[in-house]
Amino acid sequence: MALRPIVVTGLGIICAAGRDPAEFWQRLLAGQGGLAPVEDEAYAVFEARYAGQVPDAWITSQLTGSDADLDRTAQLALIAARQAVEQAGLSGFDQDRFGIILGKCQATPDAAGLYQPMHRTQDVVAERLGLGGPRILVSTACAAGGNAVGLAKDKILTGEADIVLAGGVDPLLFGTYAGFAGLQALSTGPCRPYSHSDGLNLGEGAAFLLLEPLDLALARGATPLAEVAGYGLSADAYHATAPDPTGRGGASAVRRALADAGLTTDDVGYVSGHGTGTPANDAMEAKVMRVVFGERAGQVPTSSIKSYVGHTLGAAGAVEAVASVLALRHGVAPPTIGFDDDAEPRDLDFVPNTARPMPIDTVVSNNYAFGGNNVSLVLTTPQPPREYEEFPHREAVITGLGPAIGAATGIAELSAAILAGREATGEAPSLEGRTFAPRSLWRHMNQLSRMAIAASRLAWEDSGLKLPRKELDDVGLVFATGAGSAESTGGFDESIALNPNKPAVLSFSNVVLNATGGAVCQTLGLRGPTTTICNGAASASLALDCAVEMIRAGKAEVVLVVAADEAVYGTAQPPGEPVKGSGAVAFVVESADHCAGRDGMPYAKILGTSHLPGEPTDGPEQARPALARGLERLHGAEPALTSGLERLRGTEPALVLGTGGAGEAAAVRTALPHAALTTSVGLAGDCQAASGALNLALGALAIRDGITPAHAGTPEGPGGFVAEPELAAPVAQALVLSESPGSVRGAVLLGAI
Amino acid sequence: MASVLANLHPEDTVYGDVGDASLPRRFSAAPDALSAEYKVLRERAAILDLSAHLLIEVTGAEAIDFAQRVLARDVEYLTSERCMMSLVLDESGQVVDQVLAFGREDGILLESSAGAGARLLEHLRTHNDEGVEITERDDLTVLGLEGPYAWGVVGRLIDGELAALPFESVVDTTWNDSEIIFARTGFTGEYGYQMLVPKSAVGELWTQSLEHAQAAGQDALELAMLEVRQPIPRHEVTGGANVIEIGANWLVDVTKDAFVGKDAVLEAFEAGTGRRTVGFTGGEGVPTAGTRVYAGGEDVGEVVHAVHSVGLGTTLGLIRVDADLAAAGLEFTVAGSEVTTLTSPYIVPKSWSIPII
Repeated sequence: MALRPIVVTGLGIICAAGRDPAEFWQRLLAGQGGLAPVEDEAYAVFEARYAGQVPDAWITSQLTGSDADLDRTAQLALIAARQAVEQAGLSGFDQDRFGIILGKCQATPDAAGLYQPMHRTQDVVAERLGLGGPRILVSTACAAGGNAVGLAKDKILTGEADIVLAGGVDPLLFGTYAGFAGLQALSTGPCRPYSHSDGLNLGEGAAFLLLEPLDLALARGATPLAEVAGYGLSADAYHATAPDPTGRGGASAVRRALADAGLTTDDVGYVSGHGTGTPANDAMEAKVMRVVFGERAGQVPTSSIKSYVGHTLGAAGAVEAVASVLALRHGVAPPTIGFDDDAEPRDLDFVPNTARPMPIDTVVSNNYAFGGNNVSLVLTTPQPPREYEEFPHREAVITGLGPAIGAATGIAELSAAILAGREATGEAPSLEGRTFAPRSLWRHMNQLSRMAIAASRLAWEDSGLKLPRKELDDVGLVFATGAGSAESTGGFDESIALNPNKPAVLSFSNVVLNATGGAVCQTLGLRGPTTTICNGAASASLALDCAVEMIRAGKAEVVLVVAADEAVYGTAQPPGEPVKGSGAVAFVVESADHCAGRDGMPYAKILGTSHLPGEPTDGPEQARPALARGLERLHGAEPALTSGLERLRGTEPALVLGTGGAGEAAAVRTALPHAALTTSVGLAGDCQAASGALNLALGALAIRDGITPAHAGTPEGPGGFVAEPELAAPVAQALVLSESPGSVRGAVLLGAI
Repeated sequence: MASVLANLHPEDTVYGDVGDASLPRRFSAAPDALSAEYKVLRERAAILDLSAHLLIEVTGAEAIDFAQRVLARDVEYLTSERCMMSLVLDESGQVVDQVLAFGREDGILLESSAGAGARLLEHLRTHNDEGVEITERDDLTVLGLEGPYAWGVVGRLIDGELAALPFESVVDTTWNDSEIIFARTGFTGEYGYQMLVPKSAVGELWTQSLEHAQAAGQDALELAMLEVRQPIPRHEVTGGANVIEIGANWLVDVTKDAFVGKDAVLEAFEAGTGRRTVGFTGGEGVPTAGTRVYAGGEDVGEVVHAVHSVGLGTTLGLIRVDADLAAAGLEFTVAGSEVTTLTSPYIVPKSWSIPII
């Protein structure tokens, strides 16, 4: 029996080819693109001038009141999100059951022009719409929008939400334009994917799909527009920016998505291609079509929505998913416009220039990204309600730890540092003394990737996993980072400021947040499902959630989670805040069955996790109710935990790994009066996502090896702080807290095997 | 040792002894055989009988440590989907062989150069401090495909997906129910592939390959290798020349902690003295190896290796001369006639302008 059917009941879009879904579809049918020369004179320095911009009037006419003061990215996202909610006909809803998953490729400026955290746009949309459910910012570069739709489906299947807005957004940014120009990737005219592949145009926009379970949608009288039948993720493990020319990565994403949907290639009626218009992409996509569909490749129409709107980066996957739902609804394949009829080869059908009415019941929508991240979505015509089985409960365990932080590189050093009470706040890890990657790769890598690769390799070695090539193809990787590489972002921005026509292209390829995840896949040869989560210091626990979902869904037996962030050294330290540090921490998550099958030695099992939104106005006084609510909402592999803390009575965790934030100690004392509290901050400083992962690693270590960092403070012991690193006995359970201020609070409960 | 395919080759195949192997130099005794085979390789797709390359498997817990010590390049993270070319040196820094190293799940697989297998095997065994298992894989042999349209043959013969494999990528696949190791390699600047095939299946694969490609022998292969300055150790490792004199620095990684011969290579690097190898063309006839090279009447070096280049229509060879004279565009006297030095490649391979579709 299949899993619970999840459907789309609302669409929202604003992009160069339309200010709402109706206009967008009308223009797709009419072959009316939105690519035009950029009028902003700043862009006159570039030879290429075309882009898919959203007219300002389309934005202002759809915003009122304080919404008009938001930055452009938030405005675009909010408009599309509201449209989707409106179409879905949602009037009242349970806030706590309504989540948002947003794909975004670029760090975008606030209304004053300053960079803001990656997840800020999402927080703004959630606040304005009153969404209190799961919140994840996924940043797999140009695949993020499609990725978000897949993750949204998972969040409903796990029972964490009843409704999820899934989508993507990105504005047109000068720096990004300069970067693509520097890569020689821009077409000087309107892009002409698949026929005249001389480069892409950048675009901007936002798109959302509102997802909910079919049964609930019908129960409230909504109209299902399409079923999200399945999705597939894969990693090329090939190159930072170029797609694997064999098309293996892309083909594997399509195959995984079809398998997830329980369909075959014969069921596919139309493929919405990535279709950027660059020679490397278009050649690779043609290969994917031929490899996946074989002799049928020429009979499966595939077209490029980017020929209308340009490449909207993080929004692209969502824009194309909206187009795919409309194609299903209307039974029309939208054309690739600007198509040169004389183009060779002619063995594939790119729906040249004219929309084609045809019966379509299954659409595959593909996206490929920098970092070698691929995503395929399978959308189908909604079917009647039917019986379904629950999302499987499979136990997942942590089997390898790889810290690369100020105090220690490797788990042996970390244990020694803990026992010696060594502190290294603000220090970067030492990566000297051994190699972690082939020299040819290592020498081109930035520090963030080096730390992440070191951590990953150490975790892998610690797990004792020895997998043949075939199994590495299915090993997943979830990368967690707050801000990505400060070194590359800084280097790139500096180069643009000096001369927009001489961008630091190597830095540019590392500006995308998932670049480091891609580098880890490439170095370790991992080609399983992969994604990148950017929710500040809560990224690692959200990444752990994703890893567990991959295992529960049977999409992977082994998933490597790696978190990395770096401090911007030389900037003033705000008074009262913890010292920033640089580091990476990886851990191996494995299904308990897989671990047992190889006689592995797990550290701990993952009992449950919960993530709640945090409000920007939260102060120390909110810590207590937030922790209580977080514990109430722990959910996970053990069904008993779904009903929360009440079931925990009597087996409360003896150890809490906290963030060191204000109000936390008092909150823990109230909620868990017998637990001892400590934190990882002394070992490395505040390393954002990596600190979140370090806390998880320390929780696992305390459970298996009975050691944890001491923390100065009174009272000592249960009900207070950890006084001695050597615990009286290994703890049976450890609770790990994380917080991305104003965005997400996380809690993960780990237990002994 | 005769080619495993000898009974399938034409009767008038011209064989030659190279090291410990007998290999097909040309697949016909006709006077224009070399020229015809060369053209196939440079303009279409050639199938190569590389059975004179010995395959040696290294396994055991310390296989990678051993390989890392005996190979001059860094193979620590050579996964089972990658291969790379490396020199194997002795303690004095002399070249023992130039091998293709394939990462494997349980160790590493080394492919010797033509006819050099026995010497390589002997060297590996005498350096086996780690106690690894060194096995001659005499159940396997090697076929090569090389040429601007070799990718098309791969598509028709094996699997279209494999044609676009990146350089030095390796895939374990099956052909006709036999497990083969398929690699994107290349010796001549053209699209190149190698297939490591069970001897039991190689006859059938060779025969089927001939339906899509034509055979080319060792003479055409070595000529095309020379034209792109791909090292041919049996011709170039002469007279005690060290790695730098041969010009094979790229097959050595001195940033690696340690490997057999590293000290000698470093010494040669630091000394900066000795001779260097450079390509030349022109002159009358083809000078033999060892022929003296003069500049302004002064003896400055010797001919390493020279042939008649079908592509250039004249003599092409390598001379080894004093370091400060090893530059392109200089005139030298060889066997009484003038020759000119060149930058490599001496021929631009057609593959460089042909995309794989």
